[in-house]
Amino acid sequence: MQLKIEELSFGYRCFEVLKSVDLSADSGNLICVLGKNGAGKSTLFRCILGLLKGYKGRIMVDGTDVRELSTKELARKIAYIPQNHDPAFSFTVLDMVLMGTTSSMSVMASPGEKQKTAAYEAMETLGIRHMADRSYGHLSGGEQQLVLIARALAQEAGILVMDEPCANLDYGNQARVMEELKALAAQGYLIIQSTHSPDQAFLYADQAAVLMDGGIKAMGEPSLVLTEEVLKEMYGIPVRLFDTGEENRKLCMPGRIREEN
Amino acid sequence: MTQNRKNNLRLAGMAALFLACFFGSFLLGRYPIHPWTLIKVLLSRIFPVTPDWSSQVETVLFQVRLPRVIMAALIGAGLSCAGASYQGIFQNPMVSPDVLGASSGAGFGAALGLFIGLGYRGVSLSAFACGMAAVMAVIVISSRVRTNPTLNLVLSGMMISSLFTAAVSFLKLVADPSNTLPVITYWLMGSLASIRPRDVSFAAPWIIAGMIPVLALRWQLNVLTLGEEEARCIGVNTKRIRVIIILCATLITAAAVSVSGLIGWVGLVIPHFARILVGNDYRKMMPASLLLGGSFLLIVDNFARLLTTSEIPIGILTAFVGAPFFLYLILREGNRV
Repeated sequence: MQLKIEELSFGYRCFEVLKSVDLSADSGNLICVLGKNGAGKSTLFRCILGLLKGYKGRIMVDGTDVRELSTKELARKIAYIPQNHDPAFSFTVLDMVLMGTTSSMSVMASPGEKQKTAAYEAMETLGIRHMADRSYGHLSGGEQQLVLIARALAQEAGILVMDEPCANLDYGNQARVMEELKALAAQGYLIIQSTHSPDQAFLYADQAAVLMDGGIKAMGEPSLVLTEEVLKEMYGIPVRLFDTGEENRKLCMPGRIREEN
Repeated sequence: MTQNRKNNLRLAGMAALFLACFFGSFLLGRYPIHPWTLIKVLLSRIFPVTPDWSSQVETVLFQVRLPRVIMAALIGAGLSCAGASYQGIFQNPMVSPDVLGASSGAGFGAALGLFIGLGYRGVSLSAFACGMAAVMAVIVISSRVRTNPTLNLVLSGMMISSLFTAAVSFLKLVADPSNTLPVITYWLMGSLASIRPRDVSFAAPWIIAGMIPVLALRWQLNVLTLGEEEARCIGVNTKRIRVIIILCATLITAAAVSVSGLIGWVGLVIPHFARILVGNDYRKMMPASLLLGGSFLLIVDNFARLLTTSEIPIGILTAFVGAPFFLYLILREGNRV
């Protein structure tokens, strides 16, 4: 699957967030989008997901403009993995994952055997099948995030979009979730996620994209794109990078910001 | 699997309870009817049975008790269905069927009808029309505002509700205190005492017509509880489903209120009780709400007509029973992990 964004621009009322975004991405890649608060990462994702419609430019999946697709058709191509959150009504993990299969049924139908098989397969992939009967609301944050990823897999879309998937997770769960995402990308999914941690991009991403001044400033292999200069320009603070000795695995540390006397 | 079986068993139990309440309610009342007579009278409609009962029994059963029992069951089930639907749409278990102004609209319609001296049918029609109009106004107003659609609906609902409530107060103020005012006041309390066959033929089709789409769309309702954006990304046409569900729930509420007056608490307490018994999954929770709601109102209506020598308006009883029961449910839930 290929996602192609051409000259995308979007503004809220009188405030232009995205000026001209061009981006092209193929299956099998985990892409981290970096940008400071308010750079337009969420806006970009909401355009891709079809939640914002009044943009200029084009967003295409395999050559089809997403605006020509119905809500249901779009869901078969692009899935959204939200941050884990406490739901208004708690369902079992199985029901939660089954909800991902909704686009494969008619409106009046309830999930049948086919949908159940898909749901169990998705849970199997993420190693959470044993949780099927537990209540989603009683899971830990990391487990909830895995359930939401399984739900997106059950949706059978080739492109997964995530807005800061690790924002609510502890250090261990961040690593677990990122490992799973990397494995999914290797299986052929196209995963686009935003992150505030350059380290995550270095450690797990196939490509990093820098969103700045309403456009994609640079995109490519993280160690080539995310230089000290670029990070400094993006976040407005001095940043130092360290080589870990492993190939393409750098580590990032903020420099001193306050002048000490 | 075991949980699933347990829920199915519970649903079967609720169905049994409902049937028991339904047929039991025929036997209760000022005019006692023996169970055996009831069976014979009912059978006589299908099979030729030589009547050994007075024609009075038949009149009581078919003209008074049957319509009343049918309406109690339908209104209880309907209000619970509407409440459960609204709760899903607004992702909030504390929402009741009058959140979008259907009840206060219908209340105003009835008060207006009584005030200008419309006949019985006119009052029902006016209540129904105003209930629907109130919710339509809410939908139109909220569709004009951008940003969060659910919040807008709730806020517009509150506005329209309080407008209609103010209008009812005004009507009461100017109504003739010797006859019109008590009639309006009594009507607003809610009662099933005056239900006759004509009410069944007026309200029942609307209530049933509203329930069917809601039952058919209950999986979509599950997805809607995730919230607007998540549901859309999963492939649900949220706008369309939301409008359909709101219209159906409104149809049910307006039709119910137009023949019975305001009966509170059912639409809030019963869905909540159903959630505790069978969980949040609408595939089970919606049928459970219908059965429990029907049983609940049948039982309460029996108390309404038997507790004292004169009838107690059922709206008062549902509040007396519903409010403490709801408190109990909340406290119980707080202790559960």
